[in-house]
Amino acid sequence: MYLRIGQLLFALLFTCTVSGQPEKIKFGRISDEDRQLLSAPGDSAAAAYVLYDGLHLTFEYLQGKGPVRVERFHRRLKLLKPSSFDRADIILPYNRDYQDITGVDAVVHLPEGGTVKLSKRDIITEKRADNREAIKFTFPQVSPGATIEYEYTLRSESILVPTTYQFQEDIPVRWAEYTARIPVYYKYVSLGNQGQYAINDVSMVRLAWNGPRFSVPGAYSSGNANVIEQSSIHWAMADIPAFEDQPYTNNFSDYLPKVRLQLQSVQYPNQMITKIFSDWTTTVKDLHARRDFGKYYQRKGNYGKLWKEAEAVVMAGATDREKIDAAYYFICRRLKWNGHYGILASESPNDVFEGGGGNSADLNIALLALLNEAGIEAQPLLVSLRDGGAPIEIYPLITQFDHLMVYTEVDGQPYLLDANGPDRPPGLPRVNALNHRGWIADELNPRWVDVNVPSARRTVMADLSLGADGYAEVSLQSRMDSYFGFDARSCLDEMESGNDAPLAEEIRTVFPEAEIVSHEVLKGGDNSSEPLAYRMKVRIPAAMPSEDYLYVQPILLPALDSELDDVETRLYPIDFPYPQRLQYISNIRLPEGYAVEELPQSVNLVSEDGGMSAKYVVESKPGQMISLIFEVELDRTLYSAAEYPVLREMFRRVIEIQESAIVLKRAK
Amino acid sequence: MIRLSLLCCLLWAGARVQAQSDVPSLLVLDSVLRQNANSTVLEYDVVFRVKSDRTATYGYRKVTGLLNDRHEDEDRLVENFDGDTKITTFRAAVHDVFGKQTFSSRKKDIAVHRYNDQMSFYQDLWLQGVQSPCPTYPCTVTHEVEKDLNDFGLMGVSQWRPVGREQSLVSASFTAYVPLDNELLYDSNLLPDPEITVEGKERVYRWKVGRRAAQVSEAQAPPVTETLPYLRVGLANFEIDGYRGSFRDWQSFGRFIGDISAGRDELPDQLAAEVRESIAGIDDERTKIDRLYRLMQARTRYVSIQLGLGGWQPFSAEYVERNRYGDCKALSNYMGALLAEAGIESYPVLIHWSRRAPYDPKPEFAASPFNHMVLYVPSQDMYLECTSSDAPTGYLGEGKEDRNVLWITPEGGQLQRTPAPRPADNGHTRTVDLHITDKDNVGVNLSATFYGSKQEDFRSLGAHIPDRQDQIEFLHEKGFLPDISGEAYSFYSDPDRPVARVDYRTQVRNYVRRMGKRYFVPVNRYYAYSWVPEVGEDRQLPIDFTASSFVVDTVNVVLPPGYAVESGLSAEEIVYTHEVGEYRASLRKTEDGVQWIRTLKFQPTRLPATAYADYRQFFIDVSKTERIQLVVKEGQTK
Repeated sequence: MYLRIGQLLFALLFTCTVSGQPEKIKFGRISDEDRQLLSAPGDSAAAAYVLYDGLHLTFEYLQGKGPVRVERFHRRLKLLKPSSFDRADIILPYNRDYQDITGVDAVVHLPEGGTVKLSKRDIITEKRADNREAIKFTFPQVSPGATIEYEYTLRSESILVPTTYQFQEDIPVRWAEYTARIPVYYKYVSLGNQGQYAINDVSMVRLAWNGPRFSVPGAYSSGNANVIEQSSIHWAMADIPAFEDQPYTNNFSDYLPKVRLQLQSVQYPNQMITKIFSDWTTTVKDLHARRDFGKYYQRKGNYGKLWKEAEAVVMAGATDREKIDAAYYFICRRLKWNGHYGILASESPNDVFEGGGGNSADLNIALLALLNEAGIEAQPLLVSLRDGGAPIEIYPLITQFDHLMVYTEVDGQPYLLDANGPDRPPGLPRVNALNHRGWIADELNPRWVDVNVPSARRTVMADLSLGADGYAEVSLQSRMDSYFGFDARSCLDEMESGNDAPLAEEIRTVFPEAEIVSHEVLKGGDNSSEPLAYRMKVRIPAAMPSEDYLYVQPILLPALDSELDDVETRLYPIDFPYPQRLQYISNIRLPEGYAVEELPQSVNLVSEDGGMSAKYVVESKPGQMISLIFEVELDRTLYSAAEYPVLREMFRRVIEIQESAIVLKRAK
Repeated sequence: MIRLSLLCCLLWAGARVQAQSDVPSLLVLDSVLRQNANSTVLEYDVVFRVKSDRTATYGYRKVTGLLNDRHEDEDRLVENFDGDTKITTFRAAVHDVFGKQTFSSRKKDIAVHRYNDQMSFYQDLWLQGVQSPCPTYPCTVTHEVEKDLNDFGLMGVSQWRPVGREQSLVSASFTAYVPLDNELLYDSNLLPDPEITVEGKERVYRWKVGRRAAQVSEAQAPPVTETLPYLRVGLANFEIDGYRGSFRDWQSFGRFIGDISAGRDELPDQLAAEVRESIAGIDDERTKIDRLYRLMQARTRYVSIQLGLGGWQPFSAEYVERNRYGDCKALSNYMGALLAEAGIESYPVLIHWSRRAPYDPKPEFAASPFNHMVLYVPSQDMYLECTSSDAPTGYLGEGKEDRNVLWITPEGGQLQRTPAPRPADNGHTRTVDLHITDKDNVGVNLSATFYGSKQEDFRSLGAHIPDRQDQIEFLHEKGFLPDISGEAYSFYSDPDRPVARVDYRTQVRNYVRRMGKRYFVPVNRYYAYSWVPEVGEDRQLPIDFTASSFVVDTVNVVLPPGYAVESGLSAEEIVYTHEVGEYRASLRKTEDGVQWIRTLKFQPTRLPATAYADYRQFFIDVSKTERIQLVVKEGQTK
């Protein structure tokens, strides 16, 4: 768990903090100071400045349909630099099956005075073929200093997950506020991150409501109005600086203040409570009752045709492991991923098979069906993708998941399957799915597990035969497993010339003139479950001849391709997707008549925390030979922001090592 | 429910592509057709039937054998449609190598979505597509399409490419039926002359192309329209939305474009007054143009809204003035109107904006292979790019030079060529001072001026990345700056000339490698030119080299006291010359270190395939020389 759950707990505390609340913002009315403003205070470089942004959530009740979520958006944005003019192109997407956008109003306040209102004609509804639609408009007369302002109402018949509200943006914000009036019947949990609120006001109020009347003791009506208890929320932030995105960050938006509500239960007076989610056990049962989840892989009617095609291949396996692998490769070879992720199947495994592919859930549910039929214990494993947010384990929220994989075990050890092409072996999820934790939707025992992979390894043995002209004839053998093997196989599939061969590109970043003489897969090319053994012959100008000297750059394949970027202050943790171990062993034959003048020092480096280490040993050997060993291990994948300088220093040292040279001199 | 879906299946089966019998077999493929091929076109028959000047039908049946998974999306059928085009037949099927049908598209397999070229905010074009799964290779994919076209004359059916690279061909044909009072105009590459006959009230044009081995796909090759069979067609008479046009010659086609734009250049009174005011008292025409171009730049922004006559008709000057935005046509039209108010004549210009145009318009054949519009001022022989908010007046820009374009003059179209750049127009001069004090401390002083295309990437840096540190990060990411922690950074782009200058100073570590008493000093570590063409032992296609630039880099290395160069100095200038360019590098000792000066020139040229080894060697020589390294040693007196 990498998100501090403590921040997520929600309570209807009766609190009130108010500071610096601006005057009430009225649509279309702007002060002269704001109209003439030409820079954001404290951030003279800002391209644009949000003067006001607000989201107001209320509820209505549609007879015969139930509650409707009504969200009123209002935004006033000062455009300061031409780079912000794109922000005047507005696209408001919605799903017409259950949503609607109305009441669009848009004006632009010109810096020299005057306000232009967009006419109905300027606001276009773009219908798409599926159920998605979008309202589009762009503001006229945009110039530096222009202020655009618009508001609209989004109505949605689904009240499960109101729109997530983010206070902080990539440009500075003067005032951002979230307000809500939620009838007491609807109980929400808050999963957001609290910010430094200028207003933090949560209270109970009695307000009119157009929903059904219930006779409740103590309830009263004011005239004809149906007045009920509602929770009133008002959270506002003032003067929020622009956020900064930093490299090697995962789940970035987890670090920003935001409001994220999720419906937990509905209870009308004198009625039974309807739990939207209760606990993981109930959730898993509900999921399995769905056709597009459990039934697709549990009922043979849905996967019989697929099984018929696969049966012989799968059942040919003697052990469970062999059967699992056979089923995995069958799916990988026969079904193509359509580029979409999902946790629910779009159609039955039979139909997916006939259509030749589907989303990530389609492929993995088809795999589950095969495993199920083959008598192998296997469960759906749900994850959020990298950058999709750290998992929330305390509430059984299905909406947090993006992707479905398969969890099974071999010899009591977890064995994760994620079908998408045969180049990636069973046991190795796609890199994007390595977001630390996943939830096993096991009907009897739903649970969270670590989504971990062992270190990816690459070993390279390079024999260099060096000529006096500086060119080396290199015979290179490599063994690559895990993601290294996967990358190399993908490379082999896609390569158009020798330059694109595995390892060739990395060699060519150091030696652009390297000539790939030959390359050959020795083992594991067609079978990703074994490491890829690979041989390559290369001709490389590995040394610079100069008068009597020969300066040799012995490491042909760098372990790290670049230093970690300099950043003045690291704000967020560093999160590498998986651990790696790289080993480079080389024997260098010197040209006739040359002797070693100077060798780099051997080094052994271990980072303070032990999470990263490097070893470099270079020695002269009899018979005009030099032997060299270079190893880098990155065992730890997650570093706090405070550890960044140490990690960066390690990277620098490693790069220094891999670039160090050997000096040879011609014997007199 | 079950019964209903069964019924649906039966209905669909009827509509499916016929199975087995009429799909040509892949078994006939011999080794010649398999060589270099990822797929093979077994048959591809197009029928284009012109019914009137504004209506036609178009259809084809294409059977492609997929030999492996490296084919170019041949398993995907995509067709566009809009208000004027209706797709009436749309089917895909797959057969395995034995002729058994394994897939036939159903309604739910067909996806329809709005086309988005990533450039346009709003565009009225739709795509319909289906993906056909090939269970095992090889397999055969059959596509059948029919469309009804209305107001199609401009873009409806304009080209045919029977075969692509890495694809062999068994047979293909293109047949056009044209009413006798009209005429099909055509231009082709590597196709035999059409067979032309008269059938009733129609003239029939039939092209047939037979067996062809696959052409390889090679980098820096000429466009496929020059190396593979290719057909371009147009009509002598067409009509769109009541406008009559013709592809008879460039003049006629240009007149049509002029006609659809006519009457859209009237300026609102207030703007007309502003135009007169801004040029009041100025006699020099060039200065007037500059004032008005700046007025247009300051007043408008580029938003692509592709509506109206398939995106060919510009929005009026009044519309642009009211909204202060427009696309390339609307803004060119607006600029033209501003100039007209000042009594300066200008012509809209159709152009293909790209690094290498896929089809070069020819004087003898009028066509419409354009994707952009600029403006030309004949009295000053000057082009104006109206979608840029900060280009210098008269700067046309990369990807638009040295190509045939169409001027829309009052007398009709004129095919003209934009000026070819000289290498020195696009390039840089850069000086790097390296002050080496010790291993962990190298001072880098950098000063660079970029010209022409080389400054386009960051000309608008100030406008688009206002924050200084963000600018540094951007330039670092693009390889212009060595790090992001430096100081004394400045950036300047000349408003009136295509010139931008960057200055920067920083301290870097890890520049010099120390070993015992030696320092290894790479001379041109940050800016080495290292591109080398891929190995091409059996090059088949000509080399189409398009770069045109001239760069000068100077590096001054200042050594710590007591240190001298052990090796790396060479007495003579190193020179490599080749048709594509020239490389010169010299290294000389200075009082406190060494100075390295290198020039690299590229010029566009086309070379035969046989020249490939020499061509590649030039870049190998350059790249190797660029990695020059000095070895410096303490106490060395040399």
